[in-house]
Amino acid sequence: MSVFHDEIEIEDFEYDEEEEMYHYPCPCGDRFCISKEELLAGEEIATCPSCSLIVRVIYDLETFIDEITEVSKMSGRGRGRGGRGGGVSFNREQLNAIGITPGDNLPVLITEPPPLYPPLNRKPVPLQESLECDYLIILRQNILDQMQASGAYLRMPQALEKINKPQQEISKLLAQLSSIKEKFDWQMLPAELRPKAVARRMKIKESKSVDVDTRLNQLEKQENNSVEAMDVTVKEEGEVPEEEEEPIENYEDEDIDDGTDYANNYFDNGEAYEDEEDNLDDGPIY
Amino acid sequence: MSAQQGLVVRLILLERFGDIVANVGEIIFQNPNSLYHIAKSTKVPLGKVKEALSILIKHNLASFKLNVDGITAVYTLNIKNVFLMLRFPKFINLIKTKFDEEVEILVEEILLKGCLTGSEVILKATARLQENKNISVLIQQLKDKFASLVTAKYVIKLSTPTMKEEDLFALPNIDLKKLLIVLNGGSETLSDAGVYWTINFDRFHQDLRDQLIVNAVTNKFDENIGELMRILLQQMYVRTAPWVPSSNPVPILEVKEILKKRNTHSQLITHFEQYVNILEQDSTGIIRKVGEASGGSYQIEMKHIFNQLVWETIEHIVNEKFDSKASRIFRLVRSRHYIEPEQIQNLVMIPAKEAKRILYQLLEENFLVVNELKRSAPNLGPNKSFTLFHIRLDQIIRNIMELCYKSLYNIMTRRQHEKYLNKRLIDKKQRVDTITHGMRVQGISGDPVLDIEEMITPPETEILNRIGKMLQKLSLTELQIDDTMFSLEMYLMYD
Repeated sequence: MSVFHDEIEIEDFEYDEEEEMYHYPCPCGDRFCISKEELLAGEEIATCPSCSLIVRVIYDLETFIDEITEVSKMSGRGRGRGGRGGGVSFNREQLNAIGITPGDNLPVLITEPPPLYPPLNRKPVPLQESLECDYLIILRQNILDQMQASGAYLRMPQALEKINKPQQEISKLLAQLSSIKEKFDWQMLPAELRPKAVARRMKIKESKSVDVDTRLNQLEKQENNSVEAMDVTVKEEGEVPEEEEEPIENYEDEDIDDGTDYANNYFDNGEAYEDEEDNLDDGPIY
Repeated sequence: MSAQQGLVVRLILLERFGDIVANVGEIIFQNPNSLYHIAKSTKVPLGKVKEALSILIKHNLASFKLNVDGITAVYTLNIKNVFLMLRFPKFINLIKTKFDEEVEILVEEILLKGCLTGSEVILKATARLQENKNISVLIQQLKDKFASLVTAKYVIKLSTPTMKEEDLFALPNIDLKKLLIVLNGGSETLSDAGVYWTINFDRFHQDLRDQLIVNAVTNKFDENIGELMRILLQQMYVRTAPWVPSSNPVPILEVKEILKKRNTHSQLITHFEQYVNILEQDSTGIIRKVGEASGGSYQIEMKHIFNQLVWETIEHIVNEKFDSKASRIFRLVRSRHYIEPEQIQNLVMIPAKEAKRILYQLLEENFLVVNELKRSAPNLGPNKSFTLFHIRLDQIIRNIMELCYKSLYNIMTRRQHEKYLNKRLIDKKQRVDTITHGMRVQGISGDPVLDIEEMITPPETEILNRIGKMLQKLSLTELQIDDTMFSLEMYLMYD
């Protein structure tokens, strides 16, 4: 063969795992390279792709094969175990190579879970205290007390049989106090959140106001239209009574409903809420 | 938004609104949800869910988006506002120092109710201040004070889609005669029904921010520079919008004139130039000279200030968590931006092994980040990749926020546990207190009151005192964690 530029041991080569190639820098700036397969096949000449120089790789085929298989075995095992906590997986030589001498205490295998309350290594610094802080604490407690006393602090309605008689009486009386319930402006909330009674009342109001608007529009049209368009207005007038009838009907319904509602609501201790649960599938009340 | 945050949100709601609202809040914290879905997943009766949602919306803790049919809606939790509830005491305190007690009560009422109409606020405040005062005079006073709150923008109209920007701070039309009728038990529709006012958190934050800066400067230098800073900030608002990163130039002569007029800090006036120089030449770079004309004009570097404050906070945390050696390493990484582990070991003059241990500890707790650079060019020598340590400020801040949530959660849980353990004793104390209070109101004093008070035995009082102290300490911690969170939030806002 031709003249070798140099003879280099396999250990001095860099190994590229992705391409499975061994590299060594060439004086021309590029790298000598030789693939793993070539080495396994007994090839010992590494070439440089940019210039004509070649080097001879010094290696022992059998030990090389041994090493390759060991590396692939190790990586395979690592993956299979899922990495952590798999005992000591290095032999002494490898540990030496990493820089751990036998004298060092190797980390011991930990078999217990981390403690529920991690140990506090350092004592925390004391909190700053000042008059202002004291006042803030009082304010905070004040706010909390008031919020817990207000109607916004919701409690679960107790089951009927659990409450004894006097308590029932008390809760009835409490329900009559206006301050115990939060007041809401229902205009600002989505319609589905309104309690039934409120929803009905508001519905009526809305339908009424719509009616007035359309009526006004029609009157306006009547005024604007000249005598020629009389036919049209007559037709429109024909429609108006129909529209007016509906709300009247509604109104009567409402009166009756309101009456019963009142009776129900007056001594409402909150159980009525549970009744609604059965109607989950009915959807919101229109 | 994190799981830890969700836990804290639940506890905050639980403490203030009870179990049902907390459950509902938890569900809409996870995902925006519809009414029926919430009812199904909380297993709370539908009526109560409705009420809970109404309460959340009224307190501006939840918002909703109407569906196409205009009746059903999807509800979301306003997480920020939930956390703001921790800051309410500070808001009230701020108002008290700025105005007086009556205004404090006005603000407190709005905070407690979420939103109120002007007349309602005044009615409630009157009810609380009523004792031994002329009602009509009091109402007039309260109305004026409410108006001053509105003009100072501490309260804001609850925005509706139809409202114009300039209307947000328009004064309400409050009819005092009608208010008087209502106060005396009559029913009357109030003139400003439907116009709701809520707290303008932005304005409060602006004040808290200024307070923070003044405090920081006072701590670093002295009282006099604190005063200088306060007036600089006050003059800043004349020319600048409140939330810009660096203010428009403020002429220093103006500040001097104001100081002369007030004549409170004589030392500051006599050494005025020196004080300004100290503030300007300090490494923190709070103000920056931009012009020489008329004695010099200075910019206030808001963004920079908070950058500094946040760095300071982080260094402190590292110091407390990992000790001074770690903070030395941390500062080194900060000043070098990118640094190799070997270099760190050489520069901090700590034994190599310990330095490495601390370094990895910092890395483990996410205070440092590793960047690995693989050398791709075929250079000489064996293939060596660089490991560079550096600091990613944003990540650390979010990390610390998370730590704050965690400690908040721990504190609240602890408090609840403590209360639960001693529930019987606390209840007893409360009962005795109400009874003795009732007796005093009735004019009974002396032996019978003492008898009742003795129902709590000395050992019990001791335990009660101990619990009281502990609960106070926990509350104080909560307030101070909120301080840290405030400065971090400010940084994130300017970022």
